[in-house]
Amino acid sequence: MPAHHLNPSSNRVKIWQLAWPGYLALGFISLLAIAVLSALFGQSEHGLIGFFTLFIDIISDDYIRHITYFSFLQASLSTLAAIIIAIPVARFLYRRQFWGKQYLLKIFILAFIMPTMVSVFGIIAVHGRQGIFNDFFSLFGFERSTYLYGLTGILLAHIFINMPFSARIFLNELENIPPEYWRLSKQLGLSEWQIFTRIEWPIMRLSLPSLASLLFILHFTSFATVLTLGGGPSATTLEVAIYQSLKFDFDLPKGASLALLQLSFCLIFTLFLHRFSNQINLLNSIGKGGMRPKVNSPLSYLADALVILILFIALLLPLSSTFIKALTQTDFSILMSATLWLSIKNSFILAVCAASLASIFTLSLLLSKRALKAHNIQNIGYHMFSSIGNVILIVPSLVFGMGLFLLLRNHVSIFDYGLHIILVINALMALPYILKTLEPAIDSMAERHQKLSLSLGIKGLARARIIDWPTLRQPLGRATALAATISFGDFGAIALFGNDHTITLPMLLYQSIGAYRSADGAIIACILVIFAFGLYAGIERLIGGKYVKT
Amino acid sequence: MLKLDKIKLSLGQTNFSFNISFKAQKIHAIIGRSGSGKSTLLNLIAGFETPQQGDIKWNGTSILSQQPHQRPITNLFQEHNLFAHLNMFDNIAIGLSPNLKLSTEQTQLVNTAINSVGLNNMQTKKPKDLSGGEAQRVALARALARAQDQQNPRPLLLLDEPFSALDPETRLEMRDLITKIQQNFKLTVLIISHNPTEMLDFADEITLIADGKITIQHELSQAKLPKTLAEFIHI
Repeated sequence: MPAHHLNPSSNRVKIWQLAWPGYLALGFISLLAIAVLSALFGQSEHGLIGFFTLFIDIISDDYIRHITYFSFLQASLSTLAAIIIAIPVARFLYRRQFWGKQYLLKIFILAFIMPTMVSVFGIIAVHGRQGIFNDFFSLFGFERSTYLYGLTGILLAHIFINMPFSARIFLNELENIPPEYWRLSKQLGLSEWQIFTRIEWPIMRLSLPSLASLLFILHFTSFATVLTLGGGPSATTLEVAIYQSLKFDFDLPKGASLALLQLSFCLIFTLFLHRFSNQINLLNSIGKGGMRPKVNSPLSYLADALVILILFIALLLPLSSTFIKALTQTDFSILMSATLWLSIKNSFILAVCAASLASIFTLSLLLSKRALKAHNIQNIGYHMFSSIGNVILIVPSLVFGMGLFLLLRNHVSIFDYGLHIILVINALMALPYILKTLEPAIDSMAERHQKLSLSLGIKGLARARIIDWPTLRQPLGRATALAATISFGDFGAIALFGNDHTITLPMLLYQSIGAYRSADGAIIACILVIFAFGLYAGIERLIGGKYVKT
Repeated sequence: MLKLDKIKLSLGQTNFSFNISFKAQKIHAIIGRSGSGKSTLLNLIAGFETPQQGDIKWNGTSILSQQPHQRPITNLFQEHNLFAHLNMFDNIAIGLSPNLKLSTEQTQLVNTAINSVGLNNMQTKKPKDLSGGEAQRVALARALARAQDQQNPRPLLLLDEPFSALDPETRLEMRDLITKIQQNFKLTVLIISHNPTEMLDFADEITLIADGKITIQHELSQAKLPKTLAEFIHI
């Protein structure tokens, strides 16, 4: 039923009156995006007309060619490695029931949303020159080696972050296998290999295109990992080169050109991802094996033992070593450091403000969209209200930061307003995640309540207080908490705009790693993790209230 | 009397045309195939659809320009009749006061309605704790409370396949309850059903819709069913 018929006076109601908060948010975001893009084109070595010659530069300029090649290489290998390891891990989790499985699945999510700098620190704690591996092998007389920095380190970190995520996606697919398939497999007497090739792989393959595209984008735009573990010019990506051109070379035209190049690639990848836009839901998996036949062959036990070893080395060891390293310290003087407390304060302010701003933007956009839909108005604004999140997804935070730097540097003292600029960037970067979380909730609310509210005359503040808020507070709490956690652990915009006064916990951790102060680093990493998850739990509870199934 | 006076409406490729009167204080069953226009008829009366032509009158007064909540009507949908986060009492009370601030009389009305549908001592239960039949009773109690509201009585009850998700035993119970309430409180009931046979000993009048038009309106107290109606019901 067309929704405009829901309200007889709808034709007299102006679109602006219905959706002004959404239009204001949309206008602000669009203007900012256009201004940033204009600043990049204005400063670029190529300008708007010569933009397409950028791609010729990839071939002609040795430096750009190399960093582009390396960006693709590390992103492809990281994606391939994360997926190849995730397949047996998902199968192991699906076919074996064991104590602690639920906790392991929670750790999988933890690794994905953990602040990147903490993940990097964990990898260094295991694989660094003073790491656990070198400690272990030195017991047998082996020389300490530095195999970590470069492509190896980048791959190890990306596997740590994204392999568990991929495994959970595959596990979701496996859990959706109908019980009839397993009854049939028993009847047909399929072997383990036949079960994999005939039943499990065809199901897992469904999510492969979207998962691989998403991972590729995440790896291609990976910044903190490559900056810390890249180890030199030979392992530099476009993202890191943008940072270097602004922070070290102060070559703004080159930085702008690189940012535009990165933006172009991200645009292409996002369109590719959109092509495979089946929903990926990380939180669906319940960790139950269903009716899958049990496997007891020696080969299967051997394969699963190998999976456990991989999980231990790739995931549990880096995760636990950070905490062990922090707890076994004797020098806790860092806790007295004024810089530490300043960075904690800044991180909290940034996280809370960015998450609030992102939530206000999202609610303005989605509630306006709902209002237009209720009156069957589906104009450009209606479509843009939710798709603006995808537009933001195209622009990596470093590219956005570069554009804002160029835009504002002649008008304000950039480093005096560093926190404000980071706040806006972090809010915009969180927007796609909040939109994705809240949009289904608001759509479902509209579907369930619109007609009933209309027939009972529940509107305005009464509707907001009695119907909308109780229904929305839980997803809003989750979304805001996620946005705050992302912002709390972000090491993107802060890398560009940070200084001694504008410092956050991830930046302080980066400085500790750079100065080889691993003892301090371990403590900072622990504080970062504890506060990040404390912040998540606090905001989720504060906004979402206690859990009530609706 | 409810009168749809030369109503015309186009939705996509389908044209609807209704010119019909429904007697007050009776139960009217609306039957027809899927997509024939049964729900559209109810949506027009409720104000969820706006006709391009014609008028809708209740007891001689046009209600066409009124918002859905201003019309003398309460709806019972197939599903989503209750707000999941509100308890039973509030789900009924919200029908009388959208901001849930009730006068003493309104509180009394809610309690009476709860008693009338036989759901005493369940005021604090949430919809997730209710069975399908109980949830429909709550929605019916809300309709009852609204019908008796002194300030703004809504004696017209529109039921859009309210029994479709219920088991046979609960369907019977609900039918009996609706009959009892309709008689006790002098309601005018329009009910859509996909089970015409079930309507024969329940409704006072039966209306067949096909292709967006009224095909036949028949009073069931008359001895013989018209041929078209009998063929549709397969009697």
